[in-house]
Amino acid sequence: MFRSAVIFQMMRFLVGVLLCAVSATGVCAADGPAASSAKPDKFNVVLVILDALRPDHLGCYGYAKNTSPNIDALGKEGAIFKDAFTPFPLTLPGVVSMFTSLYPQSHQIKHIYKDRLSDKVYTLAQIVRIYGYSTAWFGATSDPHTGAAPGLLRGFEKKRLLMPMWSADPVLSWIKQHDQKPFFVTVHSYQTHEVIFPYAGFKNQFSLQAPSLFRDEIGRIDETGWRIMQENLKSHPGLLYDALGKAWVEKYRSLLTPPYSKKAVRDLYRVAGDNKRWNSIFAMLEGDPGLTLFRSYGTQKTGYLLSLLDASIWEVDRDLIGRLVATLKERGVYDKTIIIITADHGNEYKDHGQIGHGPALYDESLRVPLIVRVPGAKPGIQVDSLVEAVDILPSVCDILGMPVPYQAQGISWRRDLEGSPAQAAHSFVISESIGTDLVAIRSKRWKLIMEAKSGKPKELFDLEKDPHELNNVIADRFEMSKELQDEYILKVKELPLYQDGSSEFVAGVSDALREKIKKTGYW
Amino acid sequence: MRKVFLKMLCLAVLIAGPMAFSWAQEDQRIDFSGYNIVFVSFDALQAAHTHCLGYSKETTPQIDAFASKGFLFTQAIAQSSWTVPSSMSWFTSMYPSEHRVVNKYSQYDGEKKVFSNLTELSPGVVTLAEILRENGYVTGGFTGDAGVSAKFGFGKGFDVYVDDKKFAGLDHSVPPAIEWLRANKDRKFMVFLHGYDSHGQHDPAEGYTLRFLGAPYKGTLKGGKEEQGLLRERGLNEGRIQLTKEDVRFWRALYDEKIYDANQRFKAFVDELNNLGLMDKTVIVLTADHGTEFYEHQRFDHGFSLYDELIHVPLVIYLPGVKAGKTITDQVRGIDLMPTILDLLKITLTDKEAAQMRGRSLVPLLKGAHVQLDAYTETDYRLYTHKRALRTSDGWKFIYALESDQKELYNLNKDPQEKHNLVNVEQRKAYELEQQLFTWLKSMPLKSGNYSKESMIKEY
Repeated sequence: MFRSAVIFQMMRFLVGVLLCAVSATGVCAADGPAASSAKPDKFNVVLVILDALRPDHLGCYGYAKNTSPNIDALGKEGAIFKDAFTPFPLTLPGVVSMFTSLYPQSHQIKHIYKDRLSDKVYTLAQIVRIYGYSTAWFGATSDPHTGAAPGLLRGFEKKRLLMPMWSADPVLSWIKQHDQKPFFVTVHSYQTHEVIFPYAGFKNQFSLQAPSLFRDEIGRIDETGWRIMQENLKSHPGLLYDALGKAWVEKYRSLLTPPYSKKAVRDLYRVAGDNKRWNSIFAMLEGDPGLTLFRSYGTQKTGYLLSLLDASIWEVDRDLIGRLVATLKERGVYDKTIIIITADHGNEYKDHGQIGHGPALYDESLRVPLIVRVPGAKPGIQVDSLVEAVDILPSVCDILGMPVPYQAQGISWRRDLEGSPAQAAHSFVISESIGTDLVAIRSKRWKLIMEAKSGKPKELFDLEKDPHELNNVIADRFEMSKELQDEYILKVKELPLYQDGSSEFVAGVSDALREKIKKTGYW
Repeated sequence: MRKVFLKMLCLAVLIAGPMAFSWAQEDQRIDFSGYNIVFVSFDALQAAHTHCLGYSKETTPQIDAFASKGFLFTQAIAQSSWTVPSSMSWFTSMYPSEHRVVNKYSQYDGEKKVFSNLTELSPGVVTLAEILRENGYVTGGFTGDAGVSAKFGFGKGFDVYVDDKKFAGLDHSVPPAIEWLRANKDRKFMVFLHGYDSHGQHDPAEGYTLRFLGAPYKGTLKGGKEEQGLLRERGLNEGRIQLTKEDVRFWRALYDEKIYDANQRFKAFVDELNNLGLMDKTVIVLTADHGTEFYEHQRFDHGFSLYDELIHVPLVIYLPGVKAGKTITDQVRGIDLMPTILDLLKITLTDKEAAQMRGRSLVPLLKGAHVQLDAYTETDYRLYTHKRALRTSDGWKFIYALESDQKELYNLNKDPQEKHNLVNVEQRKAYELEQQLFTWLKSMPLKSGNYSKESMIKEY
């Protein structure tokens, strides 16, 4: 009797232990790395494009100043791509490459107001939409580089105006309305673009580093810009009527006589943002005094400009990225959301004598940040492989388990996120310029810049010894430049052409403006 | 309890044993090394008009007879919808985009016309006849010329190749075939027998009897190859033709008659095989290069489209000494016939020959295995169209016209007549099949490496 009681107790104890063990493993499994209850094929995707943002001003890329704590935190949770590049240092062709995985040599979309994205081409938004995702894009809806570029936003159900410095509320409220099912959001912010950021007028620890005299000068550019814009509107009242209709013009009559209202102009942008005819009006707003002044700055003032860039990064990092992450967490969808932060191109700040992007193919124009945070992936990965904008679409499809379109010319970096090198990493990345007819090919170590039409090599840099591309060694390294030339030809010769460049400029674009667009990419 | 179990086990072994034994024996039977091969193409014969595949009229007694003794494939798909590319795909086991004999002319700019020729377009590609000849076979081709003319390279590997009369029927190609059989009955041989009997451009010499018509025809059409040519051209140039149900019934009756005649003419060849005692030593493949359209999609003839009426063909494989009478419903392709024949005849291939073939041997299917094979099919028809299609093993058809970027998607299980284009309705399926189609297409090199419509048309 006593013995069986003891046995019974032992059995109860063992069963208890077993049960505990089972439930313990259950708990452990739930907390384990690959434990997200959502499957990758249902992950949300948030893509943030910070225009013209060069990575060397982000903390997670080694910048000495703490400009981007939220972006850095995402980098720690996910992967930072150290050598990510755009194939074209200009917004429209750069974003097309990102959305379609086509090289500019293939998609041939370079000129605003002229080139159109072929209907045959699938965009990332189109693809995820086919798989049931809700899709939204936030950015400058009337901008011919992005929101108003024909075909570019194909697949986005919702397109909403979001200007630099505006609150991220529209993005967050859309997410809150749509986060019960898989969603894909793209936010394209110009806040980090040269020229734009001084208009912010914000004051933080970075902007205050510039002397007040300089900030006053920037303020005056700001005022001049508003005045020119208002004068242009005044000189084309007929167009205004055409575009917006009498009722709106009545409402914004204040624009036509000084003193004008900045708020009124902003409201006008908001209203007109979705109006297609605004494109032609916008094209007439030629002559940006800020741009002209910026480009004339010497290296000393460039330093102050860079402090304003830092100020702008700080603001967008806090107001967009930080709030985005907080909202996703608050809504309980953070663990189901892939976050990708990148740029369409970089920017030169006198590194080679210019301020801006487009005509030159040095690294400062081509290098972009790429931070990718996939739920459940290994944290803190630093990826050394060469990657390009054309890799984003195949990578996202790969992670989400959707078939990569045959048109894709990039390679998936999904495996890189695990810390192992991709099997078919790029040995070379290629790029093309606007207005200067240059192309470039870059390996980890070498950059060759050539004339596009003749293939004549112009500059060769040993990036290991000369990362700032100041010492052209083309005369001494003929073999290397020949080899790179051949690799470039090999890479581009099989690329199909999706449009032949025969499209016309839209009505209202003057001859002078057409030339400017062909030369600089801008109006 | 235990005793019953043991008894059951013994019983199971007793039953299974002999079955396994006979299956192993069956296994050994799929070895026809040294056997002859006769490959018959009934040009333009639709699967839908083949009696053993369900057609109500008894149009195909010979094919039916072989089907009852051999293996009948209900879902055989051609690699193109007209003779030249489809037939070349048989004999190379390559897709038209790969063997490149995709159109009558490889260069065509109005003035300069260069015939497509396999050797010029794809040097280094070997044909079925060449491989068999290398392996000691004598080879004879007996055809109705036109789309299988030696000009295109169809004669490659044949000791004898008859193509002297354009659009000739089996009445023209069978007699020389019989003569050649008699001369070569003691050798191992390959015969390619082909006739244009059921083709729109072939009229029976003795005229039409209308014996398959039934109720008299109440319309105004006359029948015959001139009218057929006119209807075809009108469809090509205007996009569609207008016919009544009666007209279609009339034309199908003419078609049935020609199909029946073709079978009767083929019977003469079969009889000779029997007379010469060769039937027990000959593997026979009966098939068609494509079907033909009788207004299913508002046109006439073949080559322009890739609908099932054009690419679904009959296929019967007869293995001497094997009483099968089996029906195989898995989808198979024209490119599978060459590997199957080489596998049946146990021909050892060089690495290069094996690497060339894109099809698969169907021998496992003859043994009862099942496969899921997708069928890709293409047409580059004169200067009118460049279409590519994918017919999946589970019954979806996706068609892409390269010149217009028009897409079509059909659910063949629910809509076998391909009337309801689902490309905007079933977006996911359409996207996936489009990617699969172009991934396949991209895997084959084209001269310019470019699929823009301008580059395509310059080829011809």
